[in-house]
Amino acid sequence: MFEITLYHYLVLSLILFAIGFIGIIISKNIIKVLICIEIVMSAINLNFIAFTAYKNYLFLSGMIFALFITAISAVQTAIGLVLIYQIYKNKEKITSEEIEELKG
Amino acid sequence: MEQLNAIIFYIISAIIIFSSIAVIFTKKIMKSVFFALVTFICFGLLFFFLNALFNGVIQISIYGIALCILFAIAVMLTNNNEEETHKIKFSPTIILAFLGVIMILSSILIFLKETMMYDSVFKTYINSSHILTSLDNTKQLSSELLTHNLYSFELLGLYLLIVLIGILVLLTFKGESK
Amino acid sequence: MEIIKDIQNAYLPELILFIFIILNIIFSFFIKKNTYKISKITTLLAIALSGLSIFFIQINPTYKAFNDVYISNIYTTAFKIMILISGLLIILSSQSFIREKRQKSYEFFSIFLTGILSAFSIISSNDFISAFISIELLSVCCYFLTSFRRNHKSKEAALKYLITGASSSAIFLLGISYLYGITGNINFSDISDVISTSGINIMFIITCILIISALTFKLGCIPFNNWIIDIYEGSTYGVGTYLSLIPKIAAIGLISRLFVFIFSYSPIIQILTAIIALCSIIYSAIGGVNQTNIKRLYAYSSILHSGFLLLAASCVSVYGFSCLIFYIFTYIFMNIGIWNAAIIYTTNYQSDEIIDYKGIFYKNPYFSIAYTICLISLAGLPPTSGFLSKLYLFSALSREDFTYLIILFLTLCATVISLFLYFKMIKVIYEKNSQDTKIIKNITIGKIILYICSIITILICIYPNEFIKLSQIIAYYI
Repeated sequence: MFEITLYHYLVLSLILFAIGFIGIIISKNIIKVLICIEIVMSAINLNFIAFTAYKNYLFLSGMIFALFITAISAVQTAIGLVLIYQIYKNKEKITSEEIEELKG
Repeated sequence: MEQLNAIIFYIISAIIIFSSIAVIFTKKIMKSVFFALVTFICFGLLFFFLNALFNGVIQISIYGIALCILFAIAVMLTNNNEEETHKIKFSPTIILAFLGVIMILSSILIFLKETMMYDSVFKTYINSSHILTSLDNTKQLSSELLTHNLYSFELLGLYLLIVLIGILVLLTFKGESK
Repeated sequence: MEIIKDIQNAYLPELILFIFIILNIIFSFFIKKNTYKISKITTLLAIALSGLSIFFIQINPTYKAFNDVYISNIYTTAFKIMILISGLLIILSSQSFIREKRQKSYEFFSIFLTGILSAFSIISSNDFISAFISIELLSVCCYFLTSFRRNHKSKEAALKYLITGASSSAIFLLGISYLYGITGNINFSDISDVISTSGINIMFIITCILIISALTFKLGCIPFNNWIIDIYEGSTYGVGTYLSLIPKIAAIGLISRLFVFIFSYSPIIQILTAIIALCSIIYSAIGGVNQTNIKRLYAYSSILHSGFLLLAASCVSVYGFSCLIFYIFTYIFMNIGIWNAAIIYTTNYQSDEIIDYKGIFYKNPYFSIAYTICLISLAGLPPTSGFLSKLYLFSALSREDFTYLIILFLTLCATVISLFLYFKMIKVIYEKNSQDTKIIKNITIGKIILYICSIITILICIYPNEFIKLSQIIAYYI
């Protein structure tokens, strides 16, 4: 109970991944969807760092991977926000229902 | 000491899970941005726990502060701050997707336990003098970043350049063409 | 100097592309007149020089550059040549990516070239960090190219693309994180070494499924397919051609290399991938039949063919990979042919509907015949290269074990259904139309490209031996 093992971290990150992914699916607000993507990415970062820290892998590749993931997903969110702003100027409201105009 | 560590871990993880659920289910979008801030800062604290000092700092400064400010600005620009009137509808496809995600992830959970339990390196401890080791960690991280992963680092530079140009082009777009 | 030697031996084509990307950006500050022409010429020059420089790099034995992160051998070079050919034809074929004069053509072409550079980087990356970053780079280029059309529909399509792309890359990363946890490495060959000594477990299979299902997003196969159609509809024709070729070739290159290094340790993954491919073939063959918009029809057609590509990659053998290379090589020409015909038509008459192509044969016989050849080739009927590549694929499938025979049978049925998808278009072209007479004119380069594509499509069918031999040699050196 009082010993925090790798498995604890993996379970935590998996729970957060699930919460974030469900959030991506059910959220109506696009900004909320972007926040949920960030939560998912952070959960994956936790996974990488926990593996690196507990298993003492040689080149710290997991931590480096986590750095790259942080940078790239932050930039992606910025692009998403710019696109949302451009759409908003025409639409005045941003819900994912209204973006379903191009329905598959 | 070990018990204290465990208690702190449980408290932080409870806060993370609570606030990340709150991100999805709060009505006001500004509040969910606030809960996102709490989530990201707690992630940073967990990274400190795992001796990843640099990752924790990056997590708090980029995700916690910069991105949340960006989100807040986006909410203010799009005047999206009023409460959501419509509830979340549970259409059959959403429920199916929901069940699918939960089933896949729980199966991963079960198999993870099976495979990881037999691992000899699995059980370890959090070092009591982990400030020192995390400084060592940061040193090694920076040297790895510029030797083994130099190519990826340069590629990231190109990525940022192209995103800069693309966003500049996007921002010059002024309405529909006839 | 280690780095300079690495660049000379493996990174020369990419370096040239990179220099021209920077050159395009610098030009955008200084040269304000004739922007479209100058940027197009710069881009063509970049592609030509990069194609020339491929002859100066080391390809046989495999060269590992930048601490084993980047490899160059015959297989990757063949994919790079195919990407360059398709890039060249895309630029030549679409007369104007950008209609308005005020549009930022330098920026457009620098993003275009970056897409090609990142496709190169995806194919030759030998480690998951660089593979992930170059996949993201290619995706970002695709988001921007999609959003370049000056209307709001394209912005929405780009946003959708971004959200689906981000969630698929999240799944990809989850898979990589468990693979890293199991093996402790992120280099493909190191992971392969670790797994071959320690054996596989159930977690490994789950990670492989996660990685494959995320990579199929780039390919446009089944789990993430239905938004791909919207993305094609929201973007211009030139960008549509780009999206249907470059990410697809890059993704299938990476998938086939992953199959060789990592996935080949468990046969279950092969079967599952074949089932994913089969599902997307059946889905697009049935779903594409009652489409009225030509872009949506093309989108379904591209899903269909990415299913065939995945099927070819899933039988992990030299025969299968040679079939994959031959299939891509034929697919480039027929795909550019049909998109190019649509580009030529829409620059004359702004219309996306299939029904407006009615009776086009009677005034433009050569154009229609060339278009029909490309369509027949996509459908996979005899006097064209599409028939040969499908035949080759089926023979590769029949060499595998019993489960593949069932898959082969179902694929044959789906192929027959998919004939309707193309014959609908052909029927519209040759239908009698009494009221108006549409003459297509003014587009000389586009027409020449269309004729060249259709002639190559037939020539490959007449002299297939050389091509098949070449693809077998290439596949041998994977």
